[in-house]
Amino acid sequence: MLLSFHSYKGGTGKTTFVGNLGIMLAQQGKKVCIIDTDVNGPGIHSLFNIRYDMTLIDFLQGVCSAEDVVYRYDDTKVYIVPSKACEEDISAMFKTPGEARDKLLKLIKKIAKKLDIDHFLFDCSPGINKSSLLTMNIVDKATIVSTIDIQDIRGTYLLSGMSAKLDTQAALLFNRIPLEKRDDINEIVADFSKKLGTELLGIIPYDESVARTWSRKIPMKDNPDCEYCTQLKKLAEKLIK
Amino acid sequence: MLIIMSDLHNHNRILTYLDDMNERLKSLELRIIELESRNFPQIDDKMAVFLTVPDSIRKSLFAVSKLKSCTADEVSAITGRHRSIENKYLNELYRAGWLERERKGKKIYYSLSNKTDSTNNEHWSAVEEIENKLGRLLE
Repeated sequence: MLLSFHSYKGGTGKTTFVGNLGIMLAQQGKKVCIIDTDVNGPGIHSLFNIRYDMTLIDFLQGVCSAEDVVYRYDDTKVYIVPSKACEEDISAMFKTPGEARDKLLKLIKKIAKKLDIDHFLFDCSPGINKSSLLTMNIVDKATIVSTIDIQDIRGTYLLSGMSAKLDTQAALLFNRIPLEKRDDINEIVADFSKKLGTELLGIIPYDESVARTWSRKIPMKDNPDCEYCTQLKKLAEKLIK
Repeated sequence: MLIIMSDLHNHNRILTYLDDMNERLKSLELRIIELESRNFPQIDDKMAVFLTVPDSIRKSLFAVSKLKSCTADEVSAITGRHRSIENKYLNELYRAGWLERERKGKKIYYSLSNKTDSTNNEHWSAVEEIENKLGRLLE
């Protein structure tokens, strides 16, 4: 399955979610490839502490082959395609958006064939931009990660509209929910999702233990029974049906 | 123009003058609306309207939605803002594809475009609703 993760504003917890989801799926025996399409502010390589040479950008620019940009995370079944920070949009590297799309699909195809990947996870750049929409356009399902901040909520409305325009199935994930109000908020966001006509993947309460790792650890690996991981496992089942 | 009220014989002429002026002003106003709408930059994504001017413009949109078909005057009666402001917002909404407009005589009537009518409007009111609910909960 091809799954992308978006948000309107930064800092909603996309990268943390994608990283932990990847580890969890690998723990269940799946082969996962995480591609960092947030080329303007890549971060997956920091979470997994990958020392890279060639990245997604080099592949897109035709400098290297697909095999050169995939890095295995320790001895797990998680493979990472990092990106180096770049001021340009992915589509700006090509003459047409179609060309960009084809190149990205080529990468996926090659990696899938070589490594026998079950799921591709795309960590997208926040906001409404070409890189993010390009990715949204090729995936099976786009997850929009939001907090309960008004800026995020209004943007979530925009993003879910975009996914409808692109004809990509979308799901909403509300992250960093105040624990003591989780039931009320669950009810409110369920109603909101229903009215938007977008599936609600679920909510994840704010977990101090995750916040305090500051991306130095991956909770799903080091502390898989924490509140965050427990909830993530439930949501993953819904996500990958 | 010099109007001498004491001249009874001139009363009819004055009224004709005033009527004429009134007509001219009305047609000028319509032309201004036309010109304004022509000069207004095209808003590519109609959803983006809501982000750039969310509160003010939403008010106008919902007024039109309530009245079905109405003039800027009628919208201004609901929003409490001056007609010229409503003219501007309604124009913006028209340019962005949210509204349709139709000229009947000297007046321009606005109504929700088919695109807006059902889904988008509902969706945006869902945003308003969740904001209000969360506002109360998190107070």
